[in-house]
Amino acid sequence: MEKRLIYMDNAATSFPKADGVVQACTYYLTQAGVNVARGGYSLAYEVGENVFQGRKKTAEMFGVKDPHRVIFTAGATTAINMMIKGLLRAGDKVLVSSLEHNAVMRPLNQIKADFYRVKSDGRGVFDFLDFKAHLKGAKAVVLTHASNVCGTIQPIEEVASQAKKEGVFVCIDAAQTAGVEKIDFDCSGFDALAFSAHKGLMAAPGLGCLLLSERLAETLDPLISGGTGSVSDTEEIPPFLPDKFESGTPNLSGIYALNAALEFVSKNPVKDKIMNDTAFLIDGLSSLDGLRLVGLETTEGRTGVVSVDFKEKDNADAAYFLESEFGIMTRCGMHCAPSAHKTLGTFPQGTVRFSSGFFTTKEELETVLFAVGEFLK
Amino acid sequence: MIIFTGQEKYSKKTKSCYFQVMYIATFHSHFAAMQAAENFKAAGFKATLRPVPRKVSSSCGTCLSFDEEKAVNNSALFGDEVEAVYLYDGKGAKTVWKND
Repeated sequence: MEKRLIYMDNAATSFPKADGVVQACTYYLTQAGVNVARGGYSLAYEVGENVFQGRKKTAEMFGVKDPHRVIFTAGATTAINMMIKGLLRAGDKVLVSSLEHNAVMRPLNQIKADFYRVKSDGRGVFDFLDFKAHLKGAKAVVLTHASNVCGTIQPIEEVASQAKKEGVFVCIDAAQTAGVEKIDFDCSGFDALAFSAHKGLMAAPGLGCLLLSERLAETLDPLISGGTGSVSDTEEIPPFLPDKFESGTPNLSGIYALNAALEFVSKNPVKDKIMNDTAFLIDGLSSLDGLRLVGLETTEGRTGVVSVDFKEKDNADAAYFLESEFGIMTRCGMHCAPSAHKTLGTFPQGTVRFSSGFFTTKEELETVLFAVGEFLK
Repeated sequence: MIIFTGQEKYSKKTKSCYFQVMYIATFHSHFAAMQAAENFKAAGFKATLRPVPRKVSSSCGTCLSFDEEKAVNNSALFGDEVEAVYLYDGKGAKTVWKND
């Protein structure tokens, strides 16, 4: 008998993808597979129209008044590198949270930024007073919207409001929240916000977005330069958006997929569904002896990521058991966020992370709880 | 009489090309050209995206061709990133207006 597979790693990437994504990718690759902003023929303009609509729909969903400030990238990590390396130099003072992913911490270490980690409590709750106390003299605050380990949401609007008073740039890593949590970029006063298309938005991997404020777009240096299909009679990178930050051929099949996914996400109650799953998981896992639920105790203030630390058993053994015996796919270990695990008291053993998605069924969640119970026997 | 059709045509009958005069609008970016094309469509004006004539610019960008005279001075259709509007006859381009 074929073993049934239960995918509980949607925080790494969504699966299945949103309805329409496969068809949109296939359409591009089989019917319209030409480049954009290069050739001057009708099929290229058809592809250009899709890119244009993708930029507009993204701007609409994330509260960006001018779609020029939506930059397509190769993913969230690329977008974060663009904002960090384009803005900051060695020795610049930067504030980060204690929950940051290596997508943020490794670029900061690479450029030798002088970063301060704002304190969080053992559930990942951001210490706003500590943030305020260290804000003066900072050039930027780089903050994840929600932890990829425990799901705790950070107060990004309040941080932005405070940072603006000091003229500090506010850069947000929304990899874990885009497509699920409401984000109003311009109204919140953010300067940069990075996310991938393939997680909460349920599009295809290989595409991300960087949203920019007007003031940061002007001063940010492009990380990549090259052909844009515009002002091609010069060897200088165009100063205007989005071309300034979009050299090279974009991920066109990914943008077709994003268009389909944005349509799907905007018409379906994604957050409600995932948070109902999360409540079910938290209730079920909390009732089991032999493990510790990491992060906040309820769904209040968190995303649909549920991490547990098995007290007497190895977390990797747990993940292996769940997969080999029940086909349940989870993510164990450090989740590329060592500082988060130190903050949550789960370093170096890590956690086993469960993350349901829009297509996860109640029956699958029940199997997860049953399987974890069996492992603990 | 000038016939505004906005296209270089090929006559199968005479097996030769002929050109009909059109307006073209150039932009700073491909994105701005796409936006203007959408604005024209929304306003009920026919317009076509095409490569910028080399006589107008050595950049290999995209421009918008159209033949609707009512649109020529309607700046809202073109957006802030329009560079200029030209009257183009296939041999040369006469500047109608520039966005300074």
